[in-house]
Amino acid sequence: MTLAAAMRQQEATFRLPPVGLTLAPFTHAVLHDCLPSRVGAALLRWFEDTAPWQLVETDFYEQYEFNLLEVSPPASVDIFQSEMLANLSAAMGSLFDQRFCSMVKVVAHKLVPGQHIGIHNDYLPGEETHRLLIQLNHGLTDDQGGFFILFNSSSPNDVYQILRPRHLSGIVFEISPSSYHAVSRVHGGIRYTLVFSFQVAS
Amino acid sequence: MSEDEKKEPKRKDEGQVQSIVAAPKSAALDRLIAEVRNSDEPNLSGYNRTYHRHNR
Repeated sequence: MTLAAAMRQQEATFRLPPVGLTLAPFTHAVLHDCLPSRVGAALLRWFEDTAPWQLVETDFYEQYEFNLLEVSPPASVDIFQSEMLANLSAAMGSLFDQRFCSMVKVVAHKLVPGQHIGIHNDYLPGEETHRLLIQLNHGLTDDQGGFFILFNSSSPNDVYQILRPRHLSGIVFEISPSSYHAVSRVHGGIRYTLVFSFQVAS
Repeated sequence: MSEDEKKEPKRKDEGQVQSIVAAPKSAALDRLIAEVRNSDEPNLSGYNRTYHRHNR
């Protein structure tokens, strides 16, 4: 690798500092500035111009999605190369004191006004064990909604914490039967999320 | 130091993280809760099987 290429990679690296994990109501940490602003801006341009969004409608929710590992991102978005994802997996491993499989799944989500995600926990035995979510947007106000909500239980009244979808902020969490969360309705603007899924190596 | 503080020491970036945390007043909180309430008893396994798992 050339020095210039190495420097570009360093500049594009995910930023997962070794923060302490909060253990309740499920193991998680809130992060800020998970990506360089240059990468965030490039991702937003792609998402708004040519990204291959597909509307998914189920009994449970409705949102736009696509799998980032099945498409060719523009050159300005250079964070999904296998080496970068392997580094991300290692950083997650350090954070959670676990060893993760090298395979990292990455999907993008888009919520537009009127859409929301009801309370759920992501838990499926034998499937992904940890997630990293990174928010991307042009600065959503509180009136525009799209809050990420953590719950103490499956009851929607049992709110633990409410997180603003601040651009480039993130949350990492361990998926478990108690990892209840939801996204409140978007009332304005567009809320984009990068969803990275990890699985502990057996 | 309390037991909670021992478990979760303050982070250096606590201020930046706190700016991400919202604390809506009760009426706004009630609205958020209503927005994420599932219409019926949630079918979690169905939800979890589909959510995050498209296009793979």
